[in-house]
Amino acid sequence: MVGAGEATAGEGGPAAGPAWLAGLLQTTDPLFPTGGYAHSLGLEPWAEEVDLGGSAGLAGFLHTQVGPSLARVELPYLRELCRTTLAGEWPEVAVLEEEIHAWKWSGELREASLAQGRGRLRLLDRLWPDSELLRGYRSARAEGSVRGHHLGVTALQAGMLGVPSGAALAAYAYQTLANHAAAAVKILRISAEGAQVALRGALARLEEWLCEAAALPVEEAGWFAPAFDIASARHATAFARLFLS
Amino acid sequence: MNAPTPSSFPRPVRIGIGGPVGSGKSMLLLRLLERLVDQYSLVAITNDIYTKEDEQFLVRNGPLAPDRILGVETGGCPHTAIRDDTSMNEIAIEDLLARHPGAQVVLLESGGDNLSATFSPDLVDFFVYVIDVAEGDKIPRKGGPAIRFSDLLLINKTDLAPLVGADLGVMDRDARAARGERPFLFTDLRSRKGLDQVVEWLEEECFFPLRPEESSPR
Repeated sequence: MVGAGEATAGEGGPAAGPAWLAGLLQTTDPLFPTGGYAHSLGLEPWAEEVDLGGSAGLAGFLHTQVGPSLARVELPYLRELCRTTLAGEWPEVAVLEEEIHAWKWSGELREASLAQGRGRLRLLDRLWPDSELLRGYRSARAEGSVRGHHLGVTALQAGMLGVPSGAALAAYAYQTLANHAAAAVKILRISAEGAQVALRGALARLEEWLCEAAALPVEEAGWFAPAFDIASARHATAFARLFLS
Repeated sequence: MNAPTPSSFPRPVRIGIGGPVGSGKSMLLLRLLERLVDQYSLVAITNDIYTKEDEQFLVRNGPLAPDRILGVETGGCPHTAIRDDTSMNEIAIEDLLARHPGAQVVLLESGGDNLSATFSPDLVDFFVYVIDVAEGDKIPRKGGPAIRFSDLLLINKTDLAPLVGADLGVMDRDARAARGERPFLFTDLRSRKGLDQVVEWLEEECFFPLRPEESSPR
């Protein structure tokens, strides 16, 4: 299922080097237009719910909500998605995406994930149109077996570019944390520099979260934050809001 | 009511409509739909920050079937949605064209932003920028990429000029200075004043691929 020149690295394969690094940097950059700028992924409603204040509040949010959610749900699923996607095991990918869908309790967060997945898939299609792996995923999506969640498309992207799954997980975690920091500047009383201070603090724990995720079988993955989910659900009917989620 | 769609052209002509909030973008879109709906197969996209107000305005007041109109909620960065990251609008166009594969013209209204907002050339083929006299007669003088480089500039709500103390002569002079040879028009779209000239410009400058005798691959 793997096309020539793609996905030769997987776990520790021979392409570990600048060839995949350039692609990873390009696709992780905020300039990569996938619609992510329109989502706070729960930060906006959470800031309404509890007074987050400034940099310390953002840091607390990243440490107590975002980091644990990455370590216990998203990264273990992404690891499994990287493995199954690379092998072209589309029925397995579909099952994993269904579980991700179910884990996103608030409708807005589900929609955000699907919208970003679609935006990323669209761009991958334009930039790497000859990828066999992409064709396989597209076929599975057209048949309706995979949904196209952002995590699923991120795993596809890693496979297409030959990014080792460890690097793909680290990049996804960085992207998620950085997206919250960028949204915080518009939501909280925080400067761009203050947001970077909070982000730096969270990134200091990145290895810890990656290790926690690596040790967690996907069957045991899970994260329960009902107050956060309720706040996210309320966001859909908020009188005014800056972000779509 | 909606025009049938022949079509031997490769893709629909995409027209962007930008401008500050309240300048008359939605009114322009409404007036264009009224005038063009019987001649062309149209679809329309509205951008709003966190409502679908403009979409609902068109559905209520316009002649287009509701399934030909799509509202895009952009979040707090309306300029990003039309220039830096157009993915949401591209997806909206894909969805509308999937419903209406023969659509000839896509009219895309931005969510309204400042004078530096422009459209990505990937997203639209031409863009019309709307300002209005109530923002002050200094606006054309302020320049910015939209005032200077839009394909057509409309200075709207001219009927309000005496009420807000705006000097149309000053706006005319400054628009000429800012835009050089690029066209601009004074309009009052609510009363349809200037609408004929806007349609004439669209027909002449933008819709030529839709005329079979002049159609060529783009």
